[in-house]
Amino acid sequence: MKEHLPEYITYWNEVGLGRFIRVFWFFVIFEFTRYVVIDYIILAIYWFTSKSREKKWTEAQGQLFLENPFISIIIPGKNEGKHLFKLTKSLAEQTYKNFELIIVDDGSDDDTPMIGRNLEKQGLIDLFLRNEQRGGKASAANLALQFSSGKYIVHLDADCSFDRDAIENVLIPFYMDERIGAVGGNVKVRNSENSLAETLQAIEYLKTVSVGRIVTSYLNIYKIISGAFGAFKADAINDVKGWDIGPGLDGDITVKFRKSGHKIYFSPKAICLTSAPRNFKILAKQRLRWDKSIIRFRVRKHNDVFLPHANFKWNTFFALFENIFYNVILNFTWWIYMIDLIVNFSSSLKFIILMNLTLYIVFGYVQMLSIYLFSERRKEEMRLWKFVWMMPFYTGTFLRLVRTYAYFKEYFFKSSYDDPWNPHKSSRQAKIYKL
Amino acid sequence: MLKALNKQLNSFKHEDFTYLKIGTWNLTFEKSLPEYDGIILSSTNDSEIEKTILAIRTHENPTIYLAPIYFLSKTANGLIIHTEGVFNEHKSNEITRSINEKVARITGGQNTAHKSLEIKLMNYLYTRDGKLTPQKNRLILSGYSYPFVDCYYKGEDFEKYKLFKQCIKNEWLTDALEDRVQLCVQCYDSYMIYKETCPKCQSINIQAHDIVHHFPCAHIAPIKQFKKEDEDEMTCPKCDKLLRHIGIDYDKPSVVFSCKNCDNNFQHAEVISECHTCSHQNKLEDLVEVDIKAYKISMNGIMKVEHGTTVINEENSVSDRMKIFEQLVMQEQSRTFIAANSSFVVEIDIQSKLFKILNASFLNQFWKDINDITKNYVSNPIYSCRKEETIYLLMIDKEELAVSNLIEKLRYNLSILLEDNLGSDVTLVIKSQNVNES
Ligand SMILES: [Zn+2]
Ligand SMILES: [Zn+2]
Ligand SMILES: [Zn+2]
Repeated sequence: MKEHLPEYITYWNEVGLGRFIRVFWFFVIFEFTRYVVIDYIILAIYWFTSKSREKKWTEAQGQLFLENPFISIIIPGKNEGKHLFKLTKSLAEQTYKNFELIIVDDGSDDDTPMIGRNLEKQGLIDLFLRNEQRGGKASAANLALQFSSGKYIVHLDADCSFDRDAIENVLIPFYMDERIGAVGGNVKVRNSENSLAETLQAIEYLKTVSVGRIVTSYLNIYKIISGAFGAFKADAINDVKGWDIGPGLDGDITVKFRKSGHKIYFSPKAICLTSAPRNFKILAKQRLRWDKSIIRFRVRKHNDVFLPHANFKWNTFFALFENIFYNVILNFTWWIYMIDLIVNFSSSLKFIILMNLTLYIVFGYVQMLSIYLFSERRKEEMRLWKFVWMMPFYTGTFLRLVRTYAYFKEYFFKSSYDDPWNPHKSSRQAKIYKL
Repeated sequence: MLKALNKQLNSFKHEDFTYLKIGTWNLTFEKSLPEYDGIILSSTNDSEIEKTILAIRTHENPTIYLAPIYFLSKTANGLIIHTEGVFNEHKSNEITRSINEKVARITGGQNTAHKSLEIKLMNYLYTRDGKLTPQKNRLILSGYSYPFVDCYYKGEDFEKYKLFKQCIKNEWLTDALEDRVQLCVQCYDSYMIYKETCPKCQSINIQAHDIVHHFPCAHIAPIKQFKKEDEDEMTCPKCDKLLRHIGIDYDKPSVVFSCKNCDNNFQHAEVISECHTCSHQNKLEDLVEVDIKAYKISMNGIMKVEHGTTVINEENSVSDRMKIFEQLVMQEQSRTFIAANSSFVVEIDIQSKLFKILNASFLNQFWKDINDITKNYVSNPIYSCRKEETIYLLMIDKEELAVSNLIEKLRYNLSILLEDNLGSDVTLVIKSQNVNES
């Protein structure tokens, strides 16, 4: 190693900028530009405008509590009974109190119905609805929507917990701009110290959710309100006729909102903690599902946003384009890049791989710094710094392989329709109607 | 002269039996009643009948409260459960004979007043078929009345369950669950009207809606959203498609109620049971649950009636138990058996020099252990008895071969126990004798 170091440095000294860019075009054009240059520019603007945003926020907060609208918190799910009591406790602690709580039990086969009925009897749940036959997450959410009477609908996952002001902070943006039809909450990983898989996901979530969504929201290309924590104007959600069949219905409803002309907003202060998959095997399974849904919904179902028709909107176009570009197209471009390296630079591959690694690790810490600057819980997140060097292996290798496999399966075999996540009866119908 | 005439007027002779006909109850009947074999109720006036039955059944004299009572003709009167039914020329005399024979066995010709209801109940059951079966009765709050016992309790009185409990505790009765009734928490009536109500406002003005789920678009809503008025077809309001085939493109996964009084939606209507008597709205979990049981007189109960004592009572002296045992053997001697069966007395004699040396508590425990083994070889513990070093067993209604098999088994088990406790210094002799021979 030591004797190779001078050789390595000499090599890169002699290469020059032009050749450097030629070799690392993938990194320079896509990753560096998008995730360092643009992020830092946006964050700088965000930083400079924080005073006026703070003022607007405080005004909106006053508005919210003045009006004190009745809202409906809906939680659809299967076999989530074990989380329900804790959840009602967590919600009882909220600073915003004028809400009803509706739980939909989507054909659970454990003791969820018993627990739910019990909590309903005690008055901890306002309405507990059970579908004897499972209908899938979309129909469960839609059933809750049918029986909700709030002005805003807050959609939660049962296994999440919330900062005390989370509901308040997810509602405030509606009072900042009345064109906002939906607000996404800031989802973070709980107990990330338990395993390496959870730690790496915690870093990933901070990048893609906490910072990534501030940027996309600012650019008005924020594309996915996570199902774990999102708020919707009731009128608007009834306008788009509720959720369509999943998987990936969170992204899908966001696109539907955009298409129908509603603004989407990310609220970084509305913080919710979720449990992430414990190990890489479960994680791979979860990501396969998410990645397949990009093909199914972005590329297939909503491909009309790319067509120049009457409803055409540049925002929506860019939101989906960015999403598809950075996930699908870049994923395949990366493989082209790999082939390019092997074919054209096979002799100096050992230097290039080492350099790539160096670049990505440095890049990782540069991104971590932006996270640090914007986080509201810097102290707790300090321990993550010592794991950042692993991220190239996690996002650059592990997640990329999973993604490639998912895209391949879904694009050629439409395998998401076989996902047991939805009941077979729904998937079959969805496939017939190309949904 | 007048008295004799009166007697003639009031009596009813059938074969060898003379019955007292009672129209209107008066106290003079108490004196003359023991001269008759039974009573026939000739009145059609319900309150007269009630007065008569209650006066007889609650009397202290066993020849009166145990007397057979018959209705003269068919009746709808619920008090018939305290009687032997309607007089029947073919069957009733046999019933009367059986009852009076048993009554004679109880009294032994002496007229002592019975005060304890427990004893009276046992005597009643003994002279009847031994069973106390609850009878459905709309007039009683719990919905059930008990023959004989209910003559002592006005309306619904939970005291009678205490009586049953005591008899069970004495081991005079055995019980079996017949029904479980739920009673109004306010007035203990079992007659309820069950209603589905809104859990929020208790209104009965609620309506159930089928929920329809359209698979292709995940729309899910009450069925009325899918149906236009006066049309049979169902169309999805979200995607405008026609719903074709349940299970294929749609289903009905649940039912939701809505309250027309307070607009509340809910899936589980609250069931309220309204008391028909006092109109109290009972919640199901508040109802008083009572077990209605059927009872049967036990062997111990029979012993109590026949001998005034129960055998397995440890306090009985050895001579008492021996006396009872001898009586039982005598009963067996006069019995006739079908086939080759008969009854046997098995005599187990255990001798050891150690008995003189060992301390009393060890010996007590030793005989108790022996007793526990031998008891298993007889159908009821009363058929076993010990006198000094000899244990007697009475084996009833058995084939000779079966008895000798049992004895072999007994010999084997006992010798193990004896060897463990006393070593080799012990002799065990077991003999059996057929009580129906000689
Ligand atoms: Zn539909
Ligand atoms: Zn109501
Ligand atoms: Zn009542």
